[in-house]
Formats: sequence, C-alpha cells, structure tokens
Amino acid sequence: MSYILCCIDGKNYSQSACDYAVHISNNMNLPLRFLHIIEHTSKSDSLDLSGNISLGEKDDMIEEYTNEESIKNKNLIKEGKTLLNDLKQRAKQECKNEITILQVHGDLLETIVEVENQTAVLVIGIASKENHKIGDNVKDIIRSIHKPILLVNSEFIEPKKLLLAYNGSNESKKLLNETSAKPIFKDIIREIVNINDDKIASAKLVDEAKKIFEKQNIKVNTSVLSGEPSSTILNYFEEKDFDVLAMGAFGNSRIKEFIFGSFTSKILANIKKPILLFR
Amino acid sequence: MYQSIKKEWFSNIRGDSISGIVVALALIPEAIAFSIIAGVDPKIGLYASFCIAVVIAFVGGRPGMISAATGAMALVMVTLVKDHGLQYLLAATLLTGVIQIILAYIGVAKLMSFVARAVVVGFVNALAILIFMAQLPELTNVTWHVYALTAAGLGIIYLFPYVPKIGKILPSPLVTIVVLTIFVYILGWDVRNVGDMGQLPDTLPIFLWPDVPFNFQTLWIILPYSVALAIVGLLESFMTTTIVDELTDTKGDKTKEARGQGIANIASGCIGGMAGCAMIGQSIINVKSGGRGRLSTFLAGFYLLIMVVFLSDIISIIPMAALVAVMIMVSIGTFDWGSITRLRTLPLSTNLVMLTTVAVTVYTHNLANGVLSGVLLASLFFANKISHFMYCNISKNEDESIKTYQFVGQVFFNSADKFYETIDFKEVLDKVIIDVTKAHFWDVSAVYALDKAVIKLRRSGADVEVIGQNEASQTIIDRFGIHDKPEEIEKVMGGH
Repeated sequence: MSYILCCIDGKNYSQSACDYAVHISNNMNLPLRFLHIIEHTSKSDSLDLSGNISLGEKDDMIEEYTNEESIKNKNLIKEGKTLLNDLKQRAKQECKNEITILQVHGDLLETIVEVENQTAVLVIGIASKENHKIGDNVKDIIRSIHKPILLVNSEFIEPKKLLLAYNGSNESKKLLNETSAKPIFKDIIREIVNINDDKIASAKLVDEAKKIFEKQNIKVNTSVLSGEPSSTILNYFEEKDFDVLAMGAFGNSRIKEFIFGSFTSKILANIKKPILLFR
Repeated sequence: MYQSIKKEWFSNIRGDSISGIVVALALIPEAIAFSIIAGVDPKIGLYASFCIAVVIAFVGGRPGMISAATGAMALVMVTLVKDHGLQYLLAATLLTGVIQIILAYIGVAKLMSFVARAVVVGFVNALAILIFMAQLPELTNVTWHVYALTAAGLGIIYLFPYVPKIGKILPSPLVTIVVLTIFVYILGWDVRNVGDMGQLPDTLPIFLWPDVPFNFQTLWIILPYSVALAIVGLLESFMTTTIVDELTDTKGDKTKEARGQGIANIASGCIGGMAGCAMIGQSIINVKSGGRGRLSTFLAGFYLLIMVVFLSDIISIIPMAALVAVMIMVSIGTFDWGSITRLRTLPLSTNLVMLTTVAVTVYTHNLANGVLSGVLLASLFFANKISHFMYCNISKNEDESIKTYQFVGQVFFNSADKFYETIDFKEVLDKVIIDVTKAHFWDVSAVYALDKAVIKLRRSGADVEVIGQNEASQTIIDRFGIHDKPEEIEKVMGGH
C-alpha cells in the first residue's frame, strides 16, 4: 500500500507542505503519512583541544555526550511530536483519507530511501524564498529518490495552473508517464512547454508529450519558447501566473553539474512557487 | 557512494581540521617513543605514523579513528629487530599487511565475538601497563634533573587545561614539550634528548623495498612475528573501533577496517616504516577534540609529516623527559579505570579472565599471548557455567523394579562425568529407563557417557531402554544453519 509522504522539520513551510500533501492525498485517493526524522549529529558543542586524557576519560566522555545528546534529542522528539499532532489535526479537516504520523531516529536521506517503495509522492517543505539557498540534503534526496517530489517553498494556494517543462530527456519522459497515468493534481490547467531555438524540433517534442496525456484523456495546452532555458521558463512561469512547475530533475551527473552548473539548481534557487520534480 | 564520501569526509570540516592538528602534535612524541620501544630510529615510527594515518583515512572502516605506529605492535617486534635488524622488520611489516588482508576476507571480524568483554578490558589495561613500563628505562639511573622534568611535565599536562581561556585551546602535551624544551635549552642541562635516540626524518619518505633475501629462511624468521603483529593489530583496531563507535553513537565496518589495516601496513613497509594499528588513546583524543570524519585522520598524518620534516632540528632537542611525561599520560588514558572500580561487583570468573589477560601479557610482553589465554580461560569458565544446567528426575514404579532417569539440560564434555555418576549402578533393578528427550547432547563425550552407562547397566543384568536419543543428539550434528530458525531452536531446546 503506498501513501503520500510528507517530511517535516518544523522550520520550513511545514504547514504549507501539509496543505499540499492533503490536496494531493485527496486527488490521488491515497493515505497520508507525516514523517519527522530525528537526526543525530553526535558532535559535542563544547570545544576541548586540551589533548590530554586522564584516568577514566572514555567513561567520562560517554557520560558527558550521553547527557548532552539525551537533552537535545528529548527536545527534538517533543517538538516533533507536537508538530506532528498539530499537522494531523490540521490535515483532518480537509483530508478524506487515513492520516498516520511517524517519528524515527536516523539519517534524513537514508530514512527516506528506506520508505521510497511505499511512497507515491513525497512532499517536503524547503527554505523560504527570501532565504533562497537549496540545501545539499534536498538535492541529495532529489537525486536518490525516483518518485515524484513536491518541494514546497511558499504558502498554500490551491493549484489552478501547472506548467510542465519538457525537453525529451529520460527524466522528463518518466515524469510525463507517471503524472499522466496517476495525476497528482485534479482540475488543473496543464501547459507543456519546450524551450528550443529549433522551432520544428520543439513542436515535435511538445506534440509527443501532448499525445501521452491524450491517451489518458487529459487535455493539455502546449507552447514553444526560445531563449536561455532557466530564465525563460522562470519568466514565463511568473508572467502567466502559474501555480506549480513540473519538470524532470538532474539529468546530468554530479561531475557535469559541478563543471557546467545545473538547470535544475538554477530553477530551484529562483522559483517562488512549489515545484514538482522527478528523476 | 557519493553521499557516503561526502558524509565521511566533508561533513565536519572545521572540527576535523582542528582535531587533526591536536592529534598530529600528540602523534609525534608517541611515534618517537614507540620507535624507541621497538629499538629502531625515530624516523621509522614517524614515517609509519604518517603513512598509516593517511592511507587508513581512505581505506579504513571507521571514520574518525586514528591509526599509526603503536606501542602494542612495537612490543611484538622488539626481538625481531634485536636479532635480525631493521630490514627484516620491514619485510615482516609487509607480510603483516598481507596476512591482515587475507584475514579480512575470511571474516576475522566475526571472530571478535569470541573475545569476551573481560579479555578486551584486560588487553587495554595490559597495554597501558606495558606503555608505562616502556618508559622506565628513561627513568632509571638518571640524575634528579630527569625526575624533576618528568614531574613538571605531568603537572603541566594535567593542570594546564584548568587555566582559563587558553587552557582548552592549546593542547597541554604540546605546551609541556615546548616549555620543557625551552627550559632545558636555556639552562643547558645535560639530559638525554630525542636526537640522542637515533635518526630523525629530514626528507619526505621514499619508496623502499626491504633489503632481505627472498627465500624460505627469511619467511620462517618473519612469519611468527607477522602473525603476532597481524593479530595484535587487528585486535587493537577492532577494540578501538568499538570505543569510537560508543563515543560517537555510530557504527564502523570492522571487515573494511581489517582490510584497511592490511593495506596501510603494506604501504608503511614500502616506505621504510614499521607496522602499526589503531590507537586507543589517540582516537579518544581525536573525538574529544571534535574529530569525527576521515578528514581528521588524513590531516593528522599530513600535518605530522610536514611538522617532522621541517622541524626536525627542533624536535631533536626535545628532552626525553618531556616525551616520558606525555607517554605516561597516554598510558593513564589508555587504562580502563572503570574496570578497577567494577572489580568488586563483577563475578570472580570475569575478574580472573581480565587479570589473567593482563598478567600473561605483561609477563610475555606480547598482547597476542594475553588475549589467547584470556579467551581460553573465558571459554572454560563458560563451559563450567553451562554444565550446571543439567539435572535428573528419578522415579520408580510401584514395586520398585523399574527406575526412570529423566535427564534435563546440557550434556557435553564438561558435564558428561556428572551425567554418568548420576546413575546408581549398585541398585538391583529389572529395568532402567533413561529418558533423554529433554537433554541435549552437544558432543561425542556426551554420547560416549550414555553408551558407557547403558553397557554397565546391561552387564549388571538390567534391561535398559533409552528414550529420545535421536532428539537429544540433534545438536551434536555440526549443522549450525538450522539453529537460526526459531521453530528448530524450540525443538532442540524445548526442554526449558
């Protein structure tokens, strides 16, 4: 049984992520699960470079670390639990499906990878648009999880218009197949866009994409743009007042990304509305 | 893959860079001291420490653990160096690496479960005592100056951290060495210094193939040493892994660590360094100073080489008394003090195992011997404890002509005699029933005891019936696989 997984940390748009998760859960008719992960850093805050070890040093250190981390983790558990319960209450008002909450110890990425198979869509709140630096851990999640991921970076507004950036890559093809067979959003105006200076090739691509949706009896608009891809998409997205951007993510290897920079990273850093990614 | 590299190397850059310096500073006196224990030039230990730390940073299985030239290994190689010289030590180092890699692939990490906790504690305590004893030659037949310097050194090491502000920023062993060196230099005291102990490195290490004849004679000389070095090195590395695991609340990969130790030792042998392993004291210092990742180990080795090569003139005038003070601190820090306070509460058998490990090690100066005797003793105590888990229900029928012995519990070499003696052979009976349905026959000694009893009873004229022998003997078959399944265990152990 799969579910909509909403990962929360209390800092980044947890409420808004909750609302989007509820919305998707209702659309797809799947249960909703809230997940809070308690990450252990095991790094002591106090700096001690005295470099000496005395009798029973190891036992003393374990004692000290245990006390320190026990307090830290107890607080994290308490805060997480409160947040989970709050969100469950909030979700209950709208959500038609079963809602579960889960709190686990562990590494963020490893934990999400473990539950990937049961996950239909992953919803994560990320840092606000004012403070727009996408953490490496979010990028690692996008790279490791092969399920649709909705990154929530703003307050909830019911999504009415969706822009789907399509470039014919494997990632974006997967996204098309996945979202046309199991639509994540209902009653939404979809537009497929391709950016290419070669208008003929471009028209062919969007037509191909349109057919995939038509097979599922979903109506889509198409458009063809030209220019520098990331800024063109971002401008078009804002100009036409879209609510969600969907695209394939990180088609390039890390090495290529390191050298040439990544289209996905540029979009992630500048977009002001939620973004649906698939890899 | 990428994520684990990022996490293990670059998740704690600031902490690792700082702790790397602290550890490198502490590694220098240790590497020199351990070279002196082994009877080689300080250069050998310093090159080894650099090489092992840098290599293990890449191939080790426990991020944040420090490996370098160690006292445990140095103690094993003493007689090899004395009898055959440095080149044979280098060859033995290479062979040690090869043996460790082989052991890693045949699953030596799993064998660690045979080393009981008490043996581990004994190993650590014995190591601490040996490191301390190795300092004694520096403290015998010397003038009062040396005692004064050593005492002052220890004073600085333990009291300096209490100095407000700078106490927690400057490593106190470094302060000790600097202060004592300047003091001796200014007063011009004629005490032994590091330069008197042999050659220090003045160049970067170069590739060196050991200059020994490659024949069976050489192999027979180095093999016993290499085997002992491989075992001691892996033991200390595994123990240190456990300590770092506990301190950081994470888990290291022991098999990878064993392979890494092998690779690091081969590398060390190739640049003219001695064999080494993970260091308990240094690893604790690393964690205490904020080191958690592989970067800390790498930087410790890297800084060490830089400092040693460029500061060799200064290092050579460090008085030995300062080194002795640092090494006494290391031995104190290595000692498991909790094990002494727990002596009164722990069972006698556990204490005996720990103390035997310590005594054998200190007597033979070889940690492998100590661990071996500790493991043996622990196993014997265990066998003895388990043999108590056997009893017999004896019943007779109404006219007292038939007697039933119902055995429950564990029958094996240690309880077989007890099993045999339970049966009363003097009684005159028509029939004896031996019910072993609920007993477990673990080995041939147990089966033999049963056969012997049956024969003796039959000779004396009684009919004998044995019930449940098949079930009882199931465990004797060395098929470990079936015992993993709960229902099979239930069947075999059903008596309890």
